[in-house]
Parts: sequence; C-alpha cells; structure tokens
Amino acid sequence: MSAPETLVDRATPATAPVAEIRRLTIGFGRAAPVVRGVSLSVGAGECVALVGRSGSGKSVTARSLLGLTGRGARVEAEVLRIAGQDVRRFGERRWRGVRGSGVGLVAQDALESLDPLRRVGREVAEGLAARGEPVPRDEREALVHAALRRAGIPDPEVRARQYPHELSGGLRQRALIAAALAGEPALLVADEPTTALDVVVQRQILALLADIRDGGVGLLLVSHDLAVVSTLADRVLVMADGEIVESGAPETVLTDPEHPATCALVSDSVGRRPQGRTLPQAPPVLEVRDVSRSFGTRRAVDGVSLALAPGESVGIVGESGSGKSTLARIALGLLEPDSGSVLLEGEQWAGYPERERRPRRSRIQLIAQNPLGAFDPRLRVGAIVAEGLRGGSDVEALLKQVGLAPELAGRRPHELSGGQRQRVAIARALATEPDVLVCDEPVSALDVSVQAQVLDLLTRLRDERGLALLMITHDLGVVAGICDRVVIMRDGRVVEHGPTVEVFEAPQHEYTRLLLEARPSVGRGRSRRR
Amino acid sequence: MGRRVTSRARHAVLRRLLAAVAVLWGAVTVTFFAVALAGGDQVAAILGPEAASVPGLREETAARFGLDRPLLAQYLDRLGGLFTGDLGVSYQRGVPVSSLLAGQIGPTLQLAVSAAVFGAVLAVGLTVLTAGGGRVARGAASLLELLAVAVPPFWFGIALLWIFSFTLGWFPAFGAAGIASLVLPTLALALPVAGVLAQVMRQELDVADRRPFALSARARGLGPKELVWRHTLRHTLVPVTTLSAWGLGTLIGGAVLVEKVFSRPGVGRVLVDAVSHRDTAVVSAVVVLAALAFVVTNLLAELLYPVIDARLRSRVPDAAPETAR
Amino acid sequence: MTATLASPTPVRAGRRALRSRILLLIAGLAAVAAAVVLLAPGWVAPFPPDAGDFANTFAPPGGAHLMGTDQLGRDVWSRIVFGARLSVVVGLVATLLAVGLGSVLGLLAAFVGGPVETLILRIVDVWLSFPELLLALLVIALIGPGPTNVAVAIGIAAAPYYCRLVRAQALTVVRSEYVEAARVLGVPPLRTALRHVLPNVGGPVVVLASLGSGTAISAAAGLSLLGLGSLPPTPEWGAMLAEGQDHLATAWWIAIFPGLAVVAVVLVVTVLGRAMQARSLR
Repeated sequence: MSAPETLVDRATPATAPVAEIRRLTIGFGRAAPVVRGVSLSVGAGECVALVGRSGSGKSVTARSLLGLTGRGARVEAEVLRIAGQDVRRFGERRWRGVRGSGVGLVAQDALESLDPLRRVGREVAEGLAARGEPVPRDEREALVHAALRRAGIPDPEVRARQYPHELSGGLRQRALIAAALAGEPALLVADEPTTALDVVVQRQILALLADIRDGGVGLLLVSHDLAVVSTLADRVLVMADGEIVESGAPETVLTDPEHPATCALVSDSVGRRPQGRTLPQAPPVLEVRDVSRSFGTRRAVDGVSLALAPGESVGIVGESGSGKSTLARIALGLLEPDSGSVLLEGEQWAGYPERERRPRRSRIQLIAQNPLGAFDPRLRVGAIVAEGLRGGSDVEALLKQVGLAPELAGRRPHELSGGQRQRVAIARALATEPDVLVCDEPVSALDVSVQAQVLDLLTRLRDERGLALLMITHDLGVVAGICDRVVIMRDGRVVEHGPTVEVFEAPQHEYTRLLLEARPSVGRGRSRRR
Repeated sequence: MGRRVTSRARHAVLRRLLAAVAVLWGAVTVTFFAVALAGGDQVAAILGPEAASVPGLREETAARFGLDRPLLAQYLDRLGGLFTGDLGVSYQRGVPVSSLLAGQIGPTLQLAVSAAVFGAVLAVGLTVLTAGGGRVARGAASLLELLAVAVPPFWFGIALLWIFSFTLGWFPAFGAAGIASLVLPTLALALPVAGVLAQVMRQELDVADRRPFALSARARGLGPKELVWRHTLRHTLVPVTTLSAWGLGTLIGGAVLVEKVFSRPGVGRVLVDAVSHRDTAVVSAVVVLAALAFVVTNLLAELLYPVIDARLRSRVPDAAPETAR
Repeated sequence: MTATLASPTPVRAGRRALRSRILLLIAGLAAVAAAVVLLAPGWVAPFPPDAGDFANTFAPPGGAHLMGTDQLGRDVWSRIVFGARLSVVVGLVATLLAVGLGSVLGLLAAFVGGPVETLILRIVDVWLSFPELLLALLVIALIGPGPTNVAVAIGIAAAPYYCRLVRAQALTVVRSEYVEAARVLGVPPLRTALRHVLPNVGGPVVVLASLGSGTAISAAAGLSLLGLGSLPPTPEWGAMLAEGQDHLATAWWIAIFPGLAVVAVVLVVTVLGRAMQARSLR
C-alpha cells in the first residue's frame, strides 16, 4: 500500500521527527490485525491528529508509541522511532526508560486517570522521576509547582497538596497534562483528552494543548470528534479498519473529504441544520403547567410550563443542575411535583393514584441515558423487549423496526455495543405503542457516529408513528437535528424557548448565546501562534 | 494549608465512638437476656439435677450466686460489673470469672497476636510477590488461597502435628513452653485468615491495576513493582481494613479449636469446659469480651478509612473548586 | 469510545468455555457422589460403620481396609461414608436455617423500614460483633450439645450475614433503574416483585449460601471435635477426629482421613460456589 507512505513525507523536513512510524502492524492472538500498515510521523511543535470511529485502531496505534498496547499484542513495524530511538525490539525495562522522558500520555477523564488516593503533587513528581537524573528533594517541590503553573493551574502550592476529587474537571485535566509533561517528553500522546469535559472547559484545555504544541512538543492527538481536532491539528490522518485512508490539512480533509469513511465522519460531526416542520394543529398530548419541585432547600424545577403537540419533538437543553432531568421524571410520573399539574392526553397525570394511572402508562415511555442500568441483568434481549408487549407486534418485528437482527434476542445486553443497547431500549419502549417518548440524554454516552445513527432512528420512528418526542440533552447539536422546538433551562427555570431555527439563528437570552458559542465546530480555524 | 481537624470531623469521631459503645451495650444486654431466658434453670445447671431438688441447697446456691434477685437488678449488676472488672462468678468452679480468665489469657493472646502478624505478613507478601507476575504464579497463588480458605484450621493443625511433631519431631506436640510450641499453632490458626486476606487483596489489586490511573502511571515509566508499592497497594488497604474486625473474630474463635488440638493452655480450654458444664457465667463473659475486642477493632478501622482514602474526609477544602478553569 | 484493547480474544473465550465445562463436570460428579453416599452408603462402604473387629485393630491403610481400621477395628473408610450423611446434613440444615432467618429479617428491614428497620439493624450489629464460633458455643451452652443443637447453633451464628446481604440487595434492586423501567412500562408491582426483585435478590443469596455451607460443615465438624456435637461412637467426621487425635502418634489414619473428607467436601462446595459467583458477575 504505497499511497499512505507518500503522505507521510509532508512533515517538516528540516528537523528530525520526534516520532516516526512506518508500516506498523498490530494484532492480538490469532485474530486479524487491528492495525495494518500504518505510517505516520510527528515533528517537533507539530500536532498530528488520528481520527476515526471507535474500533478503527487509532487508540492502539497511539499506544504503540508508549509500548502499552496491552498483553498479548504482536507489534511489528519497519520503522518505529521515538525521539530518535528505535523501539521495535524494546523489552519492558527499556520501554520504561522511554516512557515519561521520551513520550508522555494524556488520557481522558482525569478523575479516573489520576490516583484518587494520592495527592496531585505526588503524581506530578512521579513524572519528574522519569527525567533520568534523580531530583533532590528540596528542588522537587519547586519543580512540581512550576509544572502545575505551566499547565495553567493557579495557586499550585495549594493544589499540589490536594487530592484529585477536590479539583474541578478542568483543573484535573490540567494536572494530568502537567504530570505527563513533567518528564519533559519530546512527544505527547493525547487520547481523547477532552471527551469527559464540559463544552466551555473543553475549549480551555484545547488552548493549553495548543500552547504546549507551540512550545516545541510534538503532539499526537487521538479523537473521534472532528470539531475538536480541527482547532488543534496541523495534519489529520483518518483511520478506518486499521488503515489510514486519508490524510492532509484539516481544512482540506474536513471540508472536502474524499474517502467514504472520512465523509461519514464529517457528516456526523458537522451536526445537523435545524429544519422547520409544520405540524397539523391538535390538542397537546403532554402538558406541563407551572410545575415546581424542590429537594430540601434546593429548587430543582421552578414554575416550568410546556406543551407537546402530537408528533412534535421538543428539546430541553441545559447544563447539569438545570433541572431538566427532574422535569423529565415529573413528566413521566416517576416524581410528583410540589405544585402545578401535568396532563397526559388531556387527563390528569401528576398526583393521580398509581393504580388508576397504570393502564395509561403505555402512552408515555422513557429512553434513558444508560440502558445497561435500565435492563435487568438476568434477562436476555428478547425478554427485555417483550416486557412491554401487550399483544400485537412481536419481539422479532420490534427488533427489525429498530434495525437490529432478530438473532440478537438471545444475547445478553452486556454483549452488545452501546448503540445496539440503545436500540433495544427503543424497541422496548415502542412495544407499548406510546404516543410520547421521553428521551433523557439518549446519545450522550455514545460515539459521535453512533449518535447520528440512533438519532436517525428516532427521527424515522417519529415520522412513521407520529410519536411526540421530549428530548432532554445538554448537546445543542442533538437538538438541531431532531427538535422542532427547543426549551433552554437554567437553574430550574426556562430562560428561552421557541422554534429551533429561530432560537439558533437569533438567540435572545445571553445564556443561550453562551451555549451556542461554546460548541466547537469543524472548519472554524485553528489557533496558532505565529 | 495544614491538616485542620474541623469540628465536623470531631463530630464524626464522637458519633462513631457512641455507636461503638451502643453496640457493646447491646452485646452485654443480648447475652444477659439470652442466658436468662433460654438458659433454663441456672441453679439446676450449677448443682446438677439431683442436688437441685435438695431443699435449702437450692435457695442457698441461688443466694450465693445472686440468682434470687429480680432480673433487672441482676442486669444492672452485670452492667456495673463491666466498669469495675467484675465479670461474675463461675458456676462450675466457684471462682471469680475475671481471675479465672486472667490466668489463662496469656497464652491465648500470644497465639492470637502471632497468628495475626504472621497471617498479615503472609498475605501481603504473597500478593506483592505475585503482583504483575505471570499467569502461572498467579494461578498457583489463587490455588493456595483457595486451599487456605477451604481447609479447616483444626484439621490443618492435626495434620501439622502429625507431620512435624510426631513423625519428624521438630516441634513439641503440646504445652505452651517457648517459641517452638508456638510455631505450629500459629500456622494452623493464621491459615484461613491469611487466605481470605490474600484473596481480597489480590482481587482489589487486579481491579486497581486495570483502572485508568494505572495506565497513566505506567505511561510515566513506572514498573510493575513500583506500581504496586506506590499506587495499587494503598487501594487494597480499604477492603483489608474492613475485614480486620472480622479477622480478629475468626482468630479468637479459631484459637479455641487450635488450643484443643495442640493441647495448649488458654482461654479456649476454659471456654470449652464451661460450655460442656453449662457454665453460662464464664461463657457469657468470654463472649462479651470478644465483642469488646471486635467493637474496638471496628472503631479503629472506621477511624482509619478517611486516612487511607482522602475522598472520605469531611474536611472543607480551602480553595473552592472553580467550575470554569 | 477508544478502541478496546483487552477485548476477549478467541483464545481467552475458548479457555473460559473449557473452564466452565470442567466445572460442570465437577458439579455433576459431586452430585452423583453425594447422592450415592447420602442415599445408599452401603453400595460404597464394604463394612458396617460400627462393626468392630478386635483382631484387626489399628490396621494401617491397605488391603481390605482402604483407610485402615481404628482402635476398635472398625473400617475407617466405611465410617467416613456412613458419617457423610450426618456431617453434611448438619451443615446444610444450619445453612438453611441461617438463610431463612436472615432473609426474613433482611426483607422485613428493607420493606417495612422505619423504626423496625433501625431495630433490626442494631440487633444485627450486635449479632455480628460476636465471633461466629463463640456465638455457636454460647448457644450450645444454653440449649445443650448434640447434632441437632449444633445445627441450630451454627445457623443462629451465621444468620446475620444473610440478613445484611438480603437487606442490601433488596434495597439496591428495589431502587434500581430496571425496576423503575418496569414501573414506566406499567408492569404491576406483584409481577415486578416476582420477575425482577426476587431473582436478583435471591441470586447473590444462593451464592453466599453455597460458600457458607462449606463453612457450616467445617464448623459442625469442629464442634464435634470439641465434644459438643455428635459423640463417639457415632461415625460423624468431627467425632472421628476427636477419637483419632488420641492415637495420632501411632495410627495417624484414624484422624487424618476424616479430616480429608471434610476438606474435600468444603473444597468442592467452595469451588462451585465461586464458579456461580463468577458467572453471575459476568
């Protein structure tokens, strides 16, 4: 496969690359290799991004630069160099010499990637030890503080003595980056460094990574999110099925993709444009009137009203703590409001005794964020879906409707992928033939490309069955593709609402503007200090 | 930023202390009333069925042991006795329980402590040595742990006796003279506890090894031994601490059997004797003492948790975490 | 999100299938052996358990007497076979008692709640502060020795562990998302209880009971060894241990083999219990 090789040579020829890979192949056991003939190089002060769907082999490729591909991995390459050293035949001991000092790793979710039982400063100091020459104790503290400061953490003296759970998400990620850089590696591998973060914090971490790159460190960024990548990368390499299928500058690859895998990635990431639909007038199928609910002293929901017409989809958007999930539970009749009323198809819903309400439960169903928790761990898919059946359709038909092979009925949920599980949850909800579907963050735990598939499914079902959708989410991109109207919530109150198209193009409230702006988008342009 | 003990923390300690005292009180109460209600005729148990029917003797005996007083009075006496160290009088032997136990507790304590230390060292050693080792090492260790848990300590003691005392003659077969007589009983007693501890530690070590922070640590150049010492071993301390009170209880119970097998003097012998003679005074006293030991260990363990796992500390952080950096 | 590095390879999956097949074999063999020994001991034991042969006392293992004879000339192997019934049944009965008592209290605590729950929890706290064996000894001191009483004593000593487990499981399951999902689907509460709550609560209980029955069998033998359970000349394993201890120097087989029987049973029960546990966690 000669095509990928020529693309490698676009690295800055003047300086030797900090990482160079040629024809890398990685396999586990007797199975087919998960990485096939991959070649890339990263220069100092350059950011190369590896993008692809999950399973494309991008993480494994990145980890091979640390010698951490996992037990039982066969790694073969024509060239595998880090900071000039040939690491192909390295045993564990020699790898330890390279890790930390030649190459560093920043993983996602710093809460899990930092030892919760150790102080942050000690974690960073550990990175210092990788430098080779032992650092005298009195100097160590000063160096740790300096490393934390460089990562943009204020009051490093205070922070170093704290534990990871005492820091906010953004500070934790910075600490993790500081620990990875403490050994002064020439190459930094960042594997999904911003996935677990809030949109606003994400932007700041990306800025920090840009600074690091501009400081001369070579950065290999692995991500499934093209928008994140386009703000940071000098070159983008697209991987699919273990191979590099396309590469180039982000502006070209992402705005004018050639390979079908790249096209799929781009269309998933760009997000949809909100479209206006006209719906026939009809009395609302779900009505929430001036509902409030408190937990102790905290007002979770404060005087919220909304109405859902049959076949309409309304998105409720807000950050965590905005009260949107509480509102969803009230709408479902799982939680009683302190004041206000909820009407389902014109009849009283909230506050109604459960025994009399039960027959009507089939009208409104729930798709939760984490389907695995919502499935009885002892049951197989078939039994799970059949639980809602009242006669009429059967399990096979339902599975087919959500795009799953009928054979999956015999499997257990934990054997399925996240996207498949969500489809099973949808099939179960459809079994009762509801009129309203409440979706509480249905896709936020899924990969970007899988998100698109599930949302497509929901859209199709909505159109085919005239389902009304109440979509709870923190992601405006999700709203854009599927919701006719959007309601923005903050601290329990509605701050803005209206047709999606209008709200997106002309937001009235400042908070809405903040949310809209914080979204990273493809093609916005990279930050680079000249 | 110093290590301030906030009033909240002090409050928590006080609460736990009160809970521990409550449990101890419950133990004394439950034991007392269980004996009083289910123990049958106490006087008949002391005298034997024939002697109990002798007129006059019954009343005399009852008065002597304080059994003729109302139940509530006896109960309060028992409670009060805990503070003064008065644990009642043995029905079987007629001597104060406290002096009876005091004379015998030495060898038992010796045995329990050495078994505890040995068991802990064995468990930690086995886990650390096989951490990060190959599949063979870990499989062998798991097998050893399984055996340790499944083999009853009394039979193990018998087997050890047979092999090392009677056949090889390396160690004495009975008595409590010197270190040599301590070796085999310690081995037998420590076995099940060490097995469970090792199992729990290994499991926890495996879990911690797979967590993302272990990967990040390895990415900084840490080797497997360093990883265990600096990171994952600490994670095993939490479940081990949880088990410490249970472990103590098992050691105390097991000591009874091991002392019988090795013909060692100690509380075990006294206890078994007391049980077969229905001497509920001695038995309930021993049981309450064991409960005391358990409660104290549990309390210490609960106080130790926040020290091990910083997430459990109720300390208010000095700098409020900012949400937007 | 990121590619799974440790995805089960075909080799690993094959190994797991082999292991479960071996375990199934063990379980099957154990069941067959148990049935034979418990129901028709005469098939496997060449001699009656109390047939003394004074000409043949202290015969070492070998020949007609696979495991030798004891001080009265009785065949040790036959005594072990006939004693299995008593030793194993005492342990099982004790476990059933513990599970029953513990489950009732645990369910009461979980579903009635309020002051009842608090009371039960406090009592369990106290209950657990006594070492199991000592508590069993206390019960024996109160109700007297003998195999039935040993079963009762061990059952009472083990009950609080099941109470805690049942209560914790019941609370977790009742508050779980899947029970809530059943509510959303409109499933009536009785069906939810039977279909979701009971199996998910019962599962871990069964696993703990299988592991606990091993401990119970061992404890029963221990109490007999102390002279508080079955007494000689009953062919119960613990009683045989007590008898054999006196002759350990000269005729080791009298004590060692019955002990091995206990070890074997506890091992099998523990391995099966662990296998069940591993399977339920998968």
